[in-house]
Amino acid sequence: MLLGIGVAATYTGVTFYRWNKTPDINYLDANLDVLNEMGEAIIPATNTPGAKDANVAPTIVNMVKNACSKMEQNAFINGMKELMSFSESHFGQPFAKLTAADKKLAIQQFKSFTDNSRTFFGKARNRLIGKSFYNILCNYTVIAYCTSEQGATRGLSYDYIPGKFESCIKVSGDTKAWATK
Amino acid sequence: MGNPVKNTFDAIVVGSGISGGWAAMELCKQGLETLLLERGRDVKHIIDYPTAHLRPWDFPNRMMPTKADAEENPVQSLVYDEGSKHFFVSDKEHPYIQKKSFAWIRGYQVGGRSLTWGRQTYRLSDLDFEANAKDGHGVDWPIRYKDIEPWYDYVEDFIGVSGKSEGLAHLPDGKFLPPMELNCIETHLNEAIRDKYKDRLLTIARVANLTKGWNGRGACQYRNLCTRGCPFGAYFSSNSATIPAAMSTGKLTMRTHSIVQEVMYDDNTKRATGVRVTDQETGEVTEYFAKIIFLNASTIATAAILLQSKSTRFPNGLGNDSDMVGRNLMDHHSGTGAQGVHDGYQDMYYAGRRPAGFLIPRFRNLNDLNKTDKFLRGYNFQGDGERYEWQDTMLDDIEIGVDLKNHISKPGPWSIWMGAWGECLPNPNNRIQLSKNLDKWGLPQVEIDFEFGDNEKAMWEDEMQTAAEMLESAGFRNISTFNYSKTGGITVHEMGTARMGHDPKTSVLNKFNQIHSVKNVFITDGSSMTSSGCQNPSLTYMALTARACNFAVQQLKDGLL
Repeated sequence: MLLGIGVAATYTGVTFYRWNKTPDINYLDANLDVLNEMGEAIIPATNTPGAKDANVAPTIVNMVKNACSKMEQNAFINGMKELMSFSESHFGQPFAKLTAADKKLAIQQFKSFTDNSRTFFGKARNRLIGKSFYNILCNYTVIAYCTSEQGATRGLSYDYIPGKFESCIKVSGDTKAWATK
Repeated sequence: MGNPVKNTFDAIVVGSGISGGWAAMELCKQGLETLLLERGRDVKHIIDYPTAHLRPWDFPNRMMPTKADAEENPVQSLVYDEGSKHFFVSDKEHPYIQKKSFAWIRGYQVGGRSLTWGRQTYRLSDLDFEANAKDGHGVDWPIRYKDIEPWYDYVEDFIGVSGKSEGLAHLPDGKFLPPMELNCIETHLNEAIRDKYKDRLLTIARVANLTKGWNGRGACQYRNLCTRGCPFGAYFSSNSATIPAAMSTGKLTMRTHSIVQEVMYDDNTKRATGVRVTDQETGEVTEYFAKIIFLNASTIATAAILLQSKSTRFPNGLGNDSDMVGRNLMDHHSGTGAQGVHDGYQDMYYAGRRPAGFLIPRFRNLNDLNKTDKFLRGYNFQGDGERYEWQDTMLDDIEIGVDLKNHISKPGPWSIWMGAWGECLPNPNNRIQLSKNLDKWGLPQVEIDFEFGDNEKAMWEDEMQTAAEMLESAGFRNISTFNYSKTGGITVHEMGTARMGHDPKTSVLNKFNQIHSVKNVFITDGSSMTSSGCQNPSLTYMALTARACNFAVQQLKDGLL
């Protein structure tokens, strides 16, 4: 389902300035709680911890600060702001107050404007302006979760010092994947 | 020049990496007072492995390459990560000139790159030692397999190599500790390959990782964090093995922060007298003297030291009558291969993180049956099989929420990745020279002019094709080939800049790694390699070193040096 109102307009309004201005990094540090909420919509708590339990936000912010280009930083910060205002304009509530289903729905609105690195346009887009808000949010949430103590040890399997290598063992459908290679 | 007692030794070894550590240990064990010079800082075994015990969540950037890395260390960051970057130089502090793109990966510290090496340990054979003589590229190796065989035994016995004997003439078996095991998909591929191709096989990688306690070092704990330094000493490095053994003789003096400017030469005696060293921190210059000198600074740096060592007798650099010093730079090319996934074995997995993959030994141009006219020599495949995990599945187009969480939490399909490691022909135009630009210690920066030639490039097409065919024959799907078009240097197997040979007119070293014209200087790092083979070369450097040390000590005893 695509709600689509408003978001398309803001994306068509992209200007050189928007991508190249000095990123509003402070905004990230000031919005860790809501970023954890966004992460939770991507990896929710089930019978194992979710993104909020794993406190993915500080890690995501760290990666955005250290690993993203300036354009990607702007894309991410602008995307967060747009997601917040989209929540207000469409659902009449700040993002953090939305139901779990609406949070997911709101984030999904940003997917259609995102890169798909497997298509020609996606590749071209990646080269020109880097990864989109949606992809950074989803990918970094996964990375932050899977490398967190909660995610690695409870969402996945983590063995600090295996001590031995078992080359072929029987597993069931419930078996969790290893957190580290 | 200071106190002559303090500055005079029986032997000087320049460089404490994988071959220098061996030289220091062998010379000390033979009773020589040995000075080991290292240009970088000390790295003490275990004590100086700050990241070895860290867990994924202890790293702020979770192993993501950062902008700062890319900007400040554009070359070293191609191979390091957040857990190992402290074992690589700063590109800013140690500039060099790339006439063509060439990644010069360096670890300026005690242990050098033996801390971060890939630990693959393969013997060369007469297929390799005879290759130059047969097809006319480069010069003939002055040794054959029988000359080095006992030294391979000797080195393997000390370092500990896990692996499986396969009885191949072109990839001789070694003295192996028990092999690590192949997993389900690798065993499947092995069976399919042996079934379809009578002259091919897949075997577990032969690695300097211990499958049981060995020579005072502990067995592998299957953490797969080797490049951070191993707190169990379970892989071979100078730090974990040769340097402690050299220290324990009481004969070793190790000086860190000591950059060798040049080897000093006395034309009256026709011998090198010692080395002149700049202290990395204070800039103070000191001269050290010895009866014999081993240069083990690594392929490019050793050639640079020779070129810097100018005298009336050697205006173009020490031992450079042949003009071969700095030439014939080689590196394996390893950016080509194929990958695929397999639908079988869904109820099987593995436990533990094996720090080694598999090897498909060379199968091209061994004999008339597998001869190709497309290129000379050959390549092997190195790879590994695993089930997809979150790193591989996170980009799949899955709806966010519970679906995505399930997707990344479950083991995905089995997969194989394999890349070719190809032989590089010696070419005198691939070379290093000294530039007019100086580094912060006043030494000339190195200028590297290297590119892969037609023979290397001709292998790439064949590599992609044979890799994909083998995967197809084993029932893989989604097979894709790749050619990363990697730049020279990135395989970190630089070789050849002071090659061995029979003839002083066309080579720098003789069959005992002695400079033809300066008999008390020995060079046993990668620069001595006359051809590259396609095998990972460190084992050969170590065996050549032990062999040359034995020879040098005998020559000293006989009064010839």
